Amino acid sequence: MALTFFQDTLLVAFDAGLFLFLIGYMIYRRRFTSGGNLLLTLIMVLLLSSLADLAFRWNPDPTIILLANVFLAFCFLFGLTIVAHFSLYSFTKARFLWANELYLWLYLPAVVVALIYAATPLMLTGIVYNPFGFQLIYGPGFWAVVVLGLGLALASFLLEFDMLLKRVSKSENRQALLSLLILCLLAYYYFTDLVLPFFSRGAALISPLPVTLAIVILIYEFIKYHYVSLENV
Amino acid sequence: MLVFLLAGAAAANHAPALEPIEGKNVYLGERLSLNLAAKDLDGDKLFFSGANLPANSTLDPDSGAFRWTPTINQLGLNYPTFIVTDDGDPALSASLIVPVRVIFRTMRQERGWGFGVKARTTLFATSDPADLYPKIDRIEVDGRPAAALDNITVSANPTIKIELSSPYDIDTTNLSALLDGVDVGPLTCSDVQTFGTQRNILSLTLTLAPRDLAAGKHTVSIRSGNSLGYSTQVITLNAGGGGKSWH
Repeated sequence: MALTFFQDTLLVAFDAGLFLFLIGYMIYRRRFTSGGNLLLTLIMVLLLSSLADLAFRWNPDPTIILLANVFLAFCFLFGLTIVAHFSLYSFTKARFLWANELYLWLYLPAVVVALIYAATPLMLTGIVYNPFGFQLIYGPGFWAVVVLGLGLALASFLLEFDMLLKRVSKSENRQALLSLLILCLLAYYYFTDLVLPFFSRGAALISPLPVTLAIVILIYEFIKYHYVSLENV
Repeated sequence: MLVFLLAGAAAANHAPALEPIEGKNVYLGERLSLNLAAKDLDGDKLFFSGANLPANSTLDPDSGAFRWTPTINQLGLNYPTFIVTDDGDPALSASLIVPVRVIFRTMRQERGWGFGVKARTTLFATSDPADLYPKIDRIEVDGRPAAALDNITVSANPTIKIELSSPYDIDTTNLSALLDGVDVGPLTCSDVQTFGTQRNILSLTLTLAPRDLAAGKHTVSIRSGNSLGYSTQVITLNAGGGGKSWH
């Protein structure tokens, strides 16, 4: 447990370092644009979800677990919505133009569900614990989190996969491939961490390694190919 | 003579006294902290020591700080004895027994409306290890639930599903079942549910067919346990007949 905690702490510290590096890079290269901000927000959400997961390991106090779980749910829904936003933007850009404001509606379900998750016992009703572990007690409302998360991940997957199959250009194919990779890493992390305990009664404490890998890939493709920036889609 | 008596009285050492401490309850997973305090009329230097101190506890001989995080095997009442000794001549000491009850408990904390959490409630608490042994929770005979452990009416070749549960753990490697005193062979566990790092619910399926039961009473003894110990529970079957005696 202690070793895992220190390993995870190192990974989260590394993620934070990458985040700061990206901010510095964007300032230095004057690429602090609205499109680039989406990338920064996504990395910040990923970083926060790793921190929430780390809180479980630092102190398995029931109140901390409950609050960290609420935080994790917010990151889960918001992170997947950002990926869906980017996928939809990339998909529609080649076909038709939408007003940017329309994309804000994408965030509405995530915000509403995350608020209900945080402020009511409809989705997470409580926690049972003893010296050997804990179990989260879910309400029927948790299905909304499962369905919304699954819907966002599936929608992003289909959009990116469609772009990959269309083979519009080598650059777009590479971008779609990398986006799919990131989506897989995030979906694996979030579903194992947040959704799996709902089905298996167990509590998952997984390593934030998938998040670190996703952040590394995101920054790499942003710097190398100028991807994950809405201006460069 | 008077001078001699006065000198003798001045040299006499007085025993130190430990300040009394009431019995304590400590919950498994939490740490017990006691700070022993003692007085000595002579102002001698005092040293703390102990007898029957629990394993993995510490006692600072100078400050009297006692720290202990009990393990599951220390459940129940413990009687550590604390001793304080002065450095007078002769060295004198005093002792104090502090009963400490180690309790296993399962708690629940619920979320309320708004952003807060409600107070914690205790679902189960015990200091008796026997309460943590696996118990038969539910029996199904040929898919039908049985009302009690005794006089369960069965067919000549029943399939019996037994659900065991423990608030702590079930050792799945040392489960056994005897039918009329004869081992029924290796048992398979299914539906194993875990709580944290422990297994706390599982199902055992005993298929007695094709070893058909003769008409009459039969007993099935289920032995199960965990690191704290093992217990046997007996189920009585009332077979309708049609089979041969199983021996």
